[in-house]
Amino acid sequence: MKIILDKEKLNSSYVQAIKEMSMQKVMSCYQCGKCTAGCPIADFMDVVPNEMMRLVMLGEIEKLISSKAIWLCTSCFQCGTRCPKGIEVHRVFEALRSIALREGKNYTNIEKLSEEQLEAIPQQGIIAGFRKFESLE
Amino acid sequence: MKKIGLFICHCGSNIAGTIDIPEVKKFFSEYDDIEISDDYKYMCSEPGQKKLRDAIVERGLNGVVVACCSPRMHEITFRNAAVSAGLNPYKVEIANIREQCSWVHQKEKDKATKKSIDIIKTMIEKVKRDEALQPIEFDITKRALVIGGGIAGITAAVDIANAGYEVVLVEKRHSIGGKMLELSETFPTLDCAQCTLTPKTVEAGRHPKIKLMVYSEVEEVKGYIGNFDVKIRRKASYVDWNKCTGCGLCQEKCPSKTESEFDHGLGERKAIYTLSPQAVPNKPIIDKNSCRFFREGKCRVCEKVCPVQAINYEMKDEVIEEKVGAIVVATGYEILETEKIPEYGYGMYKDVIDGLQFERLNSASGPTAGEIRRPSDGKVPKEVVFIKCVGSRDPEKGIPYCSRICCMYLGKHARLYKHKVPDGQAYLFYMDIRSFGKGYEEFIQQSMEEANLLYIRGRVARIMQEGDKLVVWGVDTLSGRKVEIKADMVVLGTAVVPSKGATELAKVLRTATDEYGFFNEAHIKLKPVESMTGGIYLAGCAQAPKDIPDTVAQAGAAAAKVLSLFGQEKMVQEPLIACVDTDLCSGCGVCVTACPFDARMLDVDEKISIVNEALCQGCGACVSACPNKACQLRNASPKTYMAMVDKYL
Ligand SMILES: Cc1cc2nc3c(=O)[nH]c(=O)nc-3n(C[C@H](O)[C@H](O)[C@H](O)COP(=O)(O)OP(=O)(O)OC[C@H]3O[C@@H](n4cnc5c(N)ncnc54)[C@H](O)[C@@H]3O)c2cc1C
Ligand code: SF4
Ligand code: SF4
Ligand code: SF4
Ligand code: SF4
Repeated sequence: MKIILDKEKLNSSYVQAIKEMSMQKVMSCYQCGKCTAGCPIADFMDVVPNEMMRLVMLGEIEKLISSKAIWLCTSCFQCGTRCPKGIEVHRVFEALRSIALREGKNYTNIEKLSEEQLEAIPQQGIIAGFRKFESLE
Repeated sequence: MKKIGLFICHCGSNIAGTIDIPEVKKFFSEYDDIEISDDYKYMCSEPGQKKLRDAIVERGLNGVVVACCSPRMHEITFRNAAVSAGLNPYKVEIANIREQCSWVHQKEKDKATKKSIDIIKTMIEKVKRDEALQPIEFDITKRALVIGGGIAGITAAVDIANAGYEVVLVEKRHSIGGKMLELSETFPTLDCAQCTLTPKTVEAGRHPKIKLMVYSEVEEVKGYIGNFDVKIRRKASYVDWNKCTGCGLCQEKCPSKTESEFDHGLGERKAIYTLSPQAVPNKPIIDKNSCRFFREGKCRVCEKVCPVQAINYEMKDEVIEEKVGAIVVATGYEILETEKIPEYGYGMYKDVIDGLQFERLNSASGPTAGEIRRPSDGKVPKEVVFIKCVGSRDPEKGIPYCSRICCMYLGKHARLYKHKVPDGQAYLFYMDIRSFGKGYEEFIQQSMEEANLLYIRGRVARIMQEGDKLVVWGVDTLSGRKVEIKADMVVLGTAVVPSKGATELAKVLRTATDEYGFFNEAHIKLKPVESMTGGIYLAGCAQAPKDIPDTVAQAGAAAAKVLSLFGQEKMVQEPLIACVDTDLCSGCGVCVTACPFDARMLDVDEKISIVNEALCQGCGACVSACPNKACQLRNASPKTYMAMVDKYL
């Protein structure tokens, strides 16, 4: 589907909120893709980190807050550590999650996870999940 | 008696690995006219050259054959060695037994050895017949001509003049400065173009060694490096510049207005006009096409108001002759006619403009006094789309090469736009961002961050007018999505092409342009400022698209080349050129038409053909053309060559 770009869309309250919450200069991303290249979860994401950055730049936020990717992100900080422009990409993910939570969009429910699943998920992932969990309350 | 020395080089194993050198050496030690047959691992090394020098002195050699690599590599080395030992350099010949023997016959060693002997034999025949020649010397006219008064031409002219030599600076328009005069602020520092340019134009205008010839064009060039005869046409300006004080009264009162070329159609000028308020020289011309008097026979207002009677409607073009020793071509560039990319609607939609028009919009001296207002209705555009590679990297509709400056100037434009319209949004469509210069990448990245520019990777396919908006259809290949923007104005980063008349000028100069019309350098890496013709040098966008820093650097390099020519006492030329056997020449003149360098002419009184020694390049075209075998190349007569061939067979 085509994107209709205009000033309002590029400066929507969503975009403003993401910029403020993440405290990142999103417009300085030059789409090198290094965040994605280093992300351990990228393979499983429906929107990979650099794509996520691109969509924020284009003001396409809806698609992001309903994405699986923001919940798959383990907050491992790889992306931010690797980014040559010093963008803390994980913070942008976090901002998106916060917005999603405020909108009542929550897809992680740790109680519903089976023993096996809990066994399979890396501990870091579970800890990240708790963090997200907390913001629910 | 001939006393020839033969020196066989092993070239490490390049030659010795294939050819049996002891065998060859032995063969020639008993050979007629050979005084010494010697060999060495690397003849070109200092000990190798010493062998050659010592033999010349100790054995009194009067000829030398070095059997080694191609003469293109070391002929000059061994000739210089011979000179230092007192032997005429033209008595030294190379027998090429590497490229023409050992390298190509690595698998047939016996045959290679035999062939190398044959090659050496032929060169011995040549040395036996070689004459001791003297290099040809001629005087150098130590004045330079610079064609084109942009930043390239000005820089080269000032550099040469500062070294104490006279310069004739010829500019087609009636003021110098070139395109830079039209720019507003320049990347990567965003300093005002005029503030950086005017000290240079003023210096060129006032320099006692620079003869400024504006509103002039080079019409004819004859001669050769060190000695060119040039005819320059100074077009009639209809204003006597010696009288004109530049008061501007005529411009003010003139009733005829027309589109200003300087403002690229965004503003108007009078029929009598100067290029810009800071122009050097700041003298007007009358444009006959828009002047009421020239068109309708009445008016003469400027004549009436001019306080010093400088107007002269009778003025004629003048042709001025100059003698110079070197020429710098600095004719700059033009931008592609954007109408060639019809899908962008340039020329059809008023608010689709090109880069130079944007520069004028942003200029304090421009049509909007520096405010960004769109041409159609003068409104401040709130959403502006900038499109890169318009016509560039587009082999189908435009040109295949990258224009090198548009990435930077569009980034600059978007940033300048945001300075003036902080609540505006700038979109830049790009294929790649080429920001290779010093401080350039930083400039682009800073612009992205500070001005919140949205760079969109992809080309724009079409632009359509919808009410007072321009609907731009593009793509963002990064997200894989087609995008649409309703813009208020569109700025095109149009391809850079050679200036009009560049190919014609190249013909006048007898030098070459590339397939696009940029002047060709002699070697893209090693001789980037030398043209294909001796004594003619290149600077700035005349050679290829480039920004101001590169232009200025290249202009300085061209000036340095001119100065190293002028630093020589005399021009020295190889004497291996054509000569005429006056007994055989019938004066038919076939050679005159055959010569590609204009080096031949007929001596009308003697009815024979003569050779201009400075122009002849020794190509031999006349030798094969002459029906009487009267033309010969020195040290390469048919007799010599027959003797060489005889030995080989
Ligand atoms: C929109 C735009 C913005 C730009 N912004 C920047 C910038 O910010 N920073 C930067 O570094 N560069 C910038 N550039 C590039 C800059 O304009 C060039 O690098 C520079 O002008 C090249 O100088 P030049 O002397 O080679 O050519 P020109 O400026 O084209 O000068 C050539 C001169 O030769 C004259 N001439 C042509 N033919 C003849 C002839 N046959 N006889 C006599 N005279 C002749 C012309 O009239 C002209 O005066 C920009 C270019 C464009 C198009
Ligand atoms: S923080 Fe999230 S997006 Fe960044 S690398 Fe880790 S999992 Fe991937
Ligand atoms: S690593 Fe940084 S600059 Fe590169 S795509 Fe990711 S966020 Fe953008
Ligand atoms: S004659 Fe009239 S129209 Fe022509 S330049 Fe002079 S004032 Fe202008
Ligand atoms: S400099 Fe940039 S905009 Fe210009 S042709 Fe090259 S890549 Fe395209």
